[in-house]
Amino acid sequence: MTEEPGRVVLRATDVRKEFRMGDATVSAVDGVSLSVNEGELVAILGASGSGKRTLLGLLGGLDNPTSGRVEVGGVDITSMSEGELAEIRNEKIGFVFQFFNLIQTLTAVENVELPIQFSRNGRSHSRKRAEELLSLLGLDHRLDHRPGQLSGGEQQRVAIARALANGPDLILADEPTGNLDSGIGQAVLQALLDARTQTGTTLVLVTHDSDVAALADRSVTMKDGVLID
Amino acid sequence: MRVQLLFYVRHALRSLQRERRRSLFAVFAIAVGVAAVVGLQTLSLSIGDSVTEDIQATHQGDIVVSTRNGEPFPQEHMAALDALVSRMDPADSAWFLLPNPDRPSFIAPAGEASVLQWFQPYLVEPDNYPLYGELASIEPKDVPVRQLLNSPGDVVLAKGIASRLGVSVGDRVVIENSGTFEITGLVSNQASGGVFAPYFVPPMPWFAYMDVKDPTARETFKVEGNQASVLFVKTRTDAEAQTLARDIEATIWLVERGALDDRPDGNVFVYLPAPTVDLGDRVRREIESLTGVANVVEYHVFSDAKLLLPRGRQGPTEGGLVQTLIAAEPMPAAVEMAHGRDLGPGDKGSPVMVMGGFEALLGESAAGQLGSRRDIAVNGRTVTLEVVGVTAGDLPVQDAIGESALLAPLGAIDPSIPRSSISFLLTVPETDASDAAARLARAFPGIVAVRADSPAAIVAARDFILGDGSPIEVETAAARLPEIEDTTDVLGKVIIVAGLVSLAIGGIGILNTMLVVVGRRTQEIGVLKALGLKGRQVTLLFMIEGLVLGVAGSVVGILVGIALSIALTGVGEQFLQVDVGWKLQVAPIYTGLVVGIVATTVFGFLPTLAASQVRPNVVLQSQGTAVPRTGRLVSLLVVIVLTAVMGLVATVFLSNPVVGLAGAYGALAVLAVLTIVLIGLVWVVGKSPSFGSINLKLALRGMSRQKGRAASTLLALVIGIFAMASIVMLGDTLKDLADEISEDAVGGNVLLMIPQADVLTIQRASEAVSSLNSINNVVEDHQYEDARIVAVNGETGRRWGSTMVARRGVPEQGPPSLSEGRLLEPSDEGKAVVVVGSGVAEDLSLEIGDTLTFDIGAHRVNGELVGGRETDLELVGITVEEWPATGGFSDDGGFIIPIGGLDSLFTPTNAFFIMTADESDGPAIAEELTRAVPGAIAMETRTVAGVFKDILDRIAVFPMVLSALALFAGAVIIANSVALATMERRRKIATMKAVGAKGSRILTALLLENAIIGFLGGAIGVALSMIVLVVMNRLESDIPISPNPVSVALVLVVAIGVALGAAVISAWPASKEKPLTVLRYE
Repeated sequence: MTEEPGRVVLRATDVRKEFRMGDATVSAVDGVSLSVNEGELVAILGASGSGKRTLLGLLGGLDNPTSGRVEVGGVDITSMSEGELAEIRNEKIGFVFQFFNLIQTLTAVENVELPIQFSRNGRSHSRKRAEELLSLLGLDHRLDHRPGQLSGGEQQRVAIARALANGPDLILADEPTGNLDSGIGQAVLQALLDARTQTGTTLVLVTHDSDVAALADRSVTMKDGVLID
Repeated sequence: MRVQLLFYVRHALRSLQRERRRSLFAVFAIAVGVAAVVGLQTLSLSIGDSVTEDIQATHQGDIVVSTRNGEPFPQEHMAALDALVSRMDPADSAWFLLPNPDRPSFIAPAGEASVLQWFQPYLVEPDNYPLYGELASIEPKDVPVRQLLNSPGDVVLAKGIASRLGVSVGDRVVIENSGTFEITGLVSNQASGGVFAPYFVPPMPWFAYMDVKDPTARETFKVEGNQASVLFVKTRTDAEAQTLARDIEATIWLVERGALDDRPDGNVFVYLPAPTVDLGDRVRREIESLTGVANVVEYHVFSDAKLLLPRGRQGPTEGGLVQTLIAAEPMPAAVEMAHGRDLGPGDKGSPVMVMGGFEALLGESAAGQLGSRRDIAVNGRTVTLEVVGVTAGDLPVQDAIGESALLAPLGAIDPSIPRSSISFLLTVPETDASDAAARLARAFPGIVAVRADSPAAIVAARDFILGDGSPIEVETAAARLPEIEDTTDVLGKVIIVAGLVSLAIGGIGILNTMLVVVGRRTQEIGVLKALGLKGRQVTLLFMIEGLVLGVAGSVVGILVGIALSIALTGVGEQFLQVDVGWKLQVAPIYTGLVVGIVATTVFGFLPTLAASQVRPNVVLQSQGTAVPRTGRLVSLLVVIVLTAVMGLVATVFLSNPVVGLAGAYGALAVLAVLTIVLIGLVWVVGKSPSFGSINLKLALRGMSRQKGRAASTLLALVIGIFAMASIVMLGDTLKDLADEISEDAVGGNVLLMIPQADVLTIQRASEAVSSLNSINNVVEDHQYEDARIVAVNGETGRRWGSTMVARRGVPEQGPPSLSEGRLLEPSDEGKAVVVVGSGVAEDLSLEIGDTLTFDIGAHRVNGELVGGRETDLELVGITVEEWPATGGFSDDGGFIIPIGGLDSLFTPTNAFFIMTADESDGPAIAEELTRAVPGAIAMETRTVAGVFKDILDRIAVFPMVLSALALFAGAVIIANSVALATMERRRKIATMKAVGAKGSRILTALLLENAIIGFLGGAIGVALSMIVLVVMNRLESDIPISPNPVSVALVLVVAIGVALGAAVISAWPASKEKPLTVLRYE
């Protein structure tokens, strides 16, 4: 990473997302503006239904906002085509989900390899890179296990390794410990933080757990689709 | 790219393996269609191969000569053919006789007259028949039939008829209630050659071989002298076959025209029709090179020459007289000239002509033509010739070539003017004539060279050349090949279309499978997209998965198809009555692979396209969401393109792009409409009350949850059931029709038939019939074939030929309606009166009271009817309709007279007693009459209908198998969609179990759901086929609609059974699943 510290990696400007529910229009995200600097750990807090998960989706280019602007690494992703978005997600962003979302048919190492194989470069070393990452997360003995053969904590660590695979500028984590027992959750969170320390990646995580939020450099809180800080 | 592709393939394989059951059903869905295509195509190719590979064996000879109607050759044809055959190697020809071409023959086990069975007797020359291949028995094993027909009374039966009669080798049978035979062997049911034989043989395994020279057989079938209906000939080369065939045909034609009677010396007539006139010079050179040619006359004919009006008479010469202009070299022999002189050798090349037959045309002014120079327009050019003579009668060449004509020396006409035809008349030594004709015919395909021994022969030959119908059929094996190939080609196409229908049904399975696959994996697609996979890459990923299914399905389908083709070979053999040697065919394997993969791609494409539309944000939801819909326009475009692809695949088989594409789009339209209707039906049924039954409620909800899938499953079932119901119901209808027709046509329920009746047998029959007291009505008919009205009130000119029936009694269904005059009465017996149908009366303008002169019993000799005797009858009545045909074997009505209306010198062709008795007495009466009247055949008329029903049963086997295949494809679809439904509903099922539902309840609800689908599918299929029957009835009112309720019920039971059976296979494991497994890991 050659950028100087303090550079903005993620910027959302007056982002709105509306859903139509029958005749009514519901604003899940209602004019949110947020910027995250390089290397920063930002926690987005909020109760269920506050719109924090929808916001995460918009920040990661998983969905398009109804209005507003999202920039990743200084590039506006709101006006991008599906294909361009796919490339951004592949190269610039890593995702960690609450329900792990590993591909059930692939082994741990193959799951981690996946984003590297989808990327435009670095495919030849995908296996080596995946093994390194899994080893970093303490899973070097579980490389060839399928998700069904791994515990929840192990699955989430595989997911973290997968998020790190292409060395993204930004990791977006959606309740990464939400589906885990507190002890295991703690360990997984630690692994995520360690990995972040080692790679210097920016991390935005959605949580409703204030203990998790306490570890963040900065916390923002959402309520009814609006950031209330 | 390679790495990504590897990933796609690996991912696809793992996914398929992970959901083994779903993959298995998808593979089955494709496999069943591919198996149908491969199996049926292999069968059709095997059939094609077996009939074309050894065309001589199929055709039973290089040349087959037969009469057009299956009757034996007339004696004079026989003599001419015999003369031809006598010049050949005795082993190169075989005579074959069908003794009763126009009625069935009957066979019964000795001593059991009531076990009567219709059959087709084949009287053969065992030493020579068949000329190609070996006709060997299956019991005793592999003994040539020639060794089994050694002694008088030996018969070899087809296996089919032996099992029907319950007889075996060594048993005795009575044929035609006359001759007793001993069964010396059984041959396979395919031994007759079947539908490809040159004569009509119904596809029946009921035939028997006897020796045509066996006195017992000859006595039984009343064979006199030298009789045959088919002549098989073996030749060395195709060319020889072609020449000989032509020679035979021409010879018979000459015989027919009486032209072989007078043969001054051995002449050969060579004719070059219009397309071959350019060969004239080469033919002339070839003729000159023949040895022993004594004389050659060459004629060039300009058939539409126009004799223009004399110059100056009428301005530009517009008008004129169309005439044939003949240019000859040398000039034909002199004829009597009316005016002027004959043409002679001195006129060679001079612009002169003789006007043939113009004396009659011009009368006294004919003499004035002499010396005039006349213009003749010939094919756009003008030739000017001086008239040197006019004949009173026809020109001598007229017999050879044309009507009254203009005759000029050959050199007078510019050789560049196109000829209409060229003829040569050669005089060669008698012994060389045939060879010379054969050599010329061989050397110049398209020209005709025949022996023609007299002017009459030449006329006959010319008429023959010009294409008048020949009385016989002469076919060479080589010429038959394209025809057989056409037949097998059509058969192959029908078969392939049936296979493609199965494949389309299988395609529905793939469509459903892929939709579920995509639906279940939206979460996974979301993850892949979140990781950076693009939409088209997702499509590709799923396409590869579909492709793997397609390849696997095709491979399984090919293997099953090969097995199927082996099984179907037997059915095909029965259906076509040919030996179909099964062998592994390569083409269907490629076909199966291609159509399997194409069908998978085509049917799986839309769902995979939908997969690419999955939004990546679904990963943020904990539950998978439904498959997103592809845009309507895109879907429509894709469907149109994909249908075109299917159409092109069909084109490959049908070799007609228009038919292929039209068929594909037509099928698409029909399927679309049906699907919409079925979706509506599913919606309606889903809304119906459940009457408090929780199982029914679950079933109805389950069905209406996925209306599209329920509808497509229904569709698959409807197609199969429709095919099956149509065949079953049409069969029922036709069988009822057969009963009705036979009762109606015969006019009673017991029939006594006396073939080739003699007075004594008729008398004996009459006594036997009158001694029976259980009979309610008797009609006695004496049939006189070949009766013709030759004069009305003594005036000749009005003619009408038909069958005459002398009748005593009134048929059960009453007399025909009267138009004029009166019907016959008992008091008419012995009177010379006649009643005719209104058709005859109108055509000949007959009136009651007219005296009709009939010629009865004539037969054709040398083209003339001879041997008949004339008698006068008074017309007393004209009926509106034709009366019931005698004995049910002839329906041409004709003339009806009282018995005794003809004197005893006329002998009837056949006689019939038609009786009505109580149904239960029928067998006893038939048995009694059989015993009492040797040579007569007594049977219940049901037997006749029974024959027809048996024929139907046999014919129905093959379509039945095809419809069963379609139904099987439907069953696989049901199993598939139930499997998919249970997979989709795993969570729901697990939850239900978690709240206390037992496995049996889950199963019951699933089965109920599919029983409803089965019932609906069955009912719609049956209803559709009823509609087809009604439409057929409207178009052809003779077909009554009488579906048998038992058959309808049976078809419904089959439909429900198929649906339930298929559902159980898939639903059983689902109902057994532990809820925790699903709830924790799904």
